[in-house]
Amino acid sequence: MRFKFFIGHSLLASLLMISLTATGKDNLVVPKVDLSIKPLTCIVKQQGEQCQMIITAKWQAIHAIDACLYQGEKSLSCWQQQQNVVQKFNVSMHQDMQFSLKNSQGIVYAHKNININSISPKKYRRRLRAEWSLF
Amino acid sequence: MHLKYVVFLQKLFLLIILFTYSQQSFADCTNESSECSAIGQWHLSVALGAGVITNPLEGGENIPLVVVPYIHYYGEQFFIENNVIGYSFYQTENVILSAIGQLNREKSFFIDRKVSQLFIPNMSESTIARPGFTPQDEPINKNQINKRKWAVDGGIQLNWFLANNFDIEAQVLHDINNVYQGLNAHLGLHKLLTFKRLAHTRFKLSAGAKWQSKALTDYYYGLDESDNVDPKSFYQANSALNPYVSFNIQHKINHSWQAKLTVKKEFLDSNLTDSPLFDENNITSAFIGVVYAF
Repeated sequence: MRFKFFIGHSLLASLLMISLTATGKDNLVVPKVDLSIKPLTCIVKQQGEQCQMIITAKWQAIHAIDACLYQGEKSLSCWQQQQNVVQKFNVSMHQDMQFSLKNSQGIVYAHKNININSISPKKYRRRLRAEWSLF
Repeated sequence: MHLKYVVFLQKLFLLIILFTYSQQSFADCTNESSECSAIGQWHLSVALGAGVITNPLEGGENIPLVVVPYIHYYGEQFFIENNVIGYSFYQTENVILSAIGQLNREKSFFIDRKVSQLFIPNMSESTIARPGFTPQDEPINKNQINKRKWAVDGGIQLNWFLANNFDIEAQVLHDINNVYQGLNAHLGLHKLLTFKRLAHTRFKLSAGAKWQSKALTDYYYGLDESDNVDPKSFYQANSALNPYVSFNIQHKINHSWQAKLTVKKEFLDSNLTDSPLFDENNITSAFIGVVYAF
């Protein structure tokens, strides 16, 4: 009986804790951060080719923050208590990619997309046999 | 011309009218699809599922379809579609003429079924009894007779892309390795159906006919002294016309996977089914499964 009482109170306390944590997170104010990345387009000869280039990432916050710059899911660099940052990165990518500035909890401050364009765009032609023509 | 051929052509004409009566226009090739291919890229895919191609010959085993590989490649003019190789020498927006080469299907019905029947060429065949020359009623097992050879066909293919997702495919082929020393031809009408509510699902209806010359049918389905059968079973084949209909549904699941259902029925010429070699008067192909594109 005493054991059941203990379990019941523990569950109630846990639910309360979760609720408070969630409320606290919801109330977090994400500081405004201006992010610019140049260039935003990478040119390759043929579509599907790997793109390699040097980009310049520049971000500015209202006050000093901890932040990391990500290329997709991959972290490129992290800064602690910085307000203005300008840094160059050598990146390689084979498809359009999102670059995002996040805090340690994964909250996104700002993001930019880099697109890949090809000099000779992919061409298509009509197929001349019904697909799976073995039927 | 036989009355049944006239009736068939009338039905074919009605089908053309039915197929062309639609408001949609044929989509241009701007991305990868079952109708369009990126130039210069190899495409390999594998179908996994359950299916069969029936064998109409006496003693012939049906062809199981469980794992079916498929490969295609399109250059500016050159192309490969599994067992077909081609070169498009005349291309306009709606009409393409190509020189093609492909494996002839007929031999596949004569071989013992192991694992070898994954790449089956397009289908057609026929025989006809010579007037006053009725073969013996006893069926002849394909394994009892002299071996038939694989033939490689070469010839011309026409693709005519009309409005309303409708297209016509025609081929006239001759065996380039002198196996049967004859001709075969194919005329197919295809209609692609798409619906806004089913954005990832495509339906394709096809109807057509396959014609084979006397030389072809006589080589594969005629019976004579070389076949070591009773002279009463000797059979001289003649040219044949086999109509077919097919229905295909494919549903894109994601970038790599799609679900597929295909059913095809080919109706063999009655003269063909009179042959002692034949047991069935049609060929049914069916497959249901998933396709993975590498």
